[in-house]
Amino acid sequence: MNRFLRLGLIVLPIAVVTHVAAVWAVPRVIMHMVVTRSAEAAGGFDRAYHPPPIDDKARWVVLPSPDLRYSICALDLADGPVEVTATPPDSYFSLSVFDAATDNVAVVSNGTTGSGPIHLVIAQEAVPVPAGAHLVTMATTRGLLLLRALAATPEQAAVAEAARRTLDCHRLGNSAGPANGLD
Amino acid sequence: MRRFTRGLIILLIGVGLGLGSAYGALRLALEETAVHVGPWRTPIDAGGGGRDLYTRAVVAVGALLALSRSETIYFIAGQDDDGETLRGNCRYVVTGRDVPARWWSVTAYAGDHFLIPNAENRWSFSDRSVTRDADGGFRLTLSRDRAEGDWLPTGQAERLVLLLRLYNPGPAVAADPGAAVLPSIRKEGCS
Repeated sequence: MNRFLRLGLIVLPIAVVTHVAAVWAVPRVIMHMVVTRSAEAAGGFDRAYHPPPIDDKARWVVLPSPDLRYSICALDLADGPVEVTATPPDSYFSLSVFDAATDNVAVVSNGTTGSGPIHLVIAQEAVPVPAGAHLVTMATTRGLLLLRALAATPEQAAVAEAARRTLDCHRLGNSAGPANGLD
Repeated sequence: MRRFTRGLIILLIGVGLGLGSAYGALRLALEETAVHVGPWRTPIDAGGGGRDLYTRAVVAVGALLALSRSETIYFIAGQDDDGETLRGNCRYVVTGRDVPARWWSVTAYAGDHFLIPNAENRWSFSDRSVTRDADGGFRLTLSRDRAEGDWLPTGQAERLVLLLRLYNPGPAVAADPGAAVLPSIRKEGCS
């Protein structure tokens, strides 16, 4: 067999495997970094963190919107489901859940739920949830909950700031308990 | 030893080819799979769970934590109406009308996809802040030097990227983003 052809038959599978592995790993590695950093900022998993308003110094995530206030909870479902509550204002407000592969597994906004509190239970599989709560299933153990509140004007910003502070994340059935620690 | 060295070189060539082709594929993926509307383009579904391997990776690199299409559609532009790269030393005029959505915004970023430092601390206009003319149209100016009307300062950025966000898009746009009527991006001149 031609020497170069034989070389190609060895190199090609290595290249293909590396190619697929790299493309597969990119979102997971980036998400792992963001989730870990969010947990560090919050002092642990399953705790709300309210980063400063977005400006040109915001370098956590690309393409941040200066018209939104964000809050986050780094999720760790290893010890069970996580319960999330927040009370939206009249302007745009949403809670979105992203798994460890960056998939947006759920988004709930006040466009569909109205003005009442939003109540989520995030679990890896179906579990009984408190009355009025939405069940969100996420296949991966870790992920991120992201709150977005519209703050396109100074008036909206004040309302959004107050609304995002209502975000509460904790392990289901452990509302006053300690959050999962960092590892 | 010689055999080991040869094996290592083959492994490195394979890994190098794999990483290089992955990088190239990700650069091409958005262009090839996106919906194009004039200078704007949007992934079929930026945040949805049904995305292919490449779209998921491209969005993770360029627009992490993007929402699914039913909630938000993101149109990104790195070129003007004539297909030329948006540059910080040029002056652009973005004109359009309200896009059907619960709210929309146009945000200017530097080529690294972060907000541009500027003395005005102004990075975007939204349907809540934009000035409309008598016909309901709006006109934004992107430039380094102060401009009359709705001005988005481009600071010292070398390259520019514009992002049009449609939150809770209208059903027609959500069903077919390619049919959306979006703002034009026209270059007025460069320094």
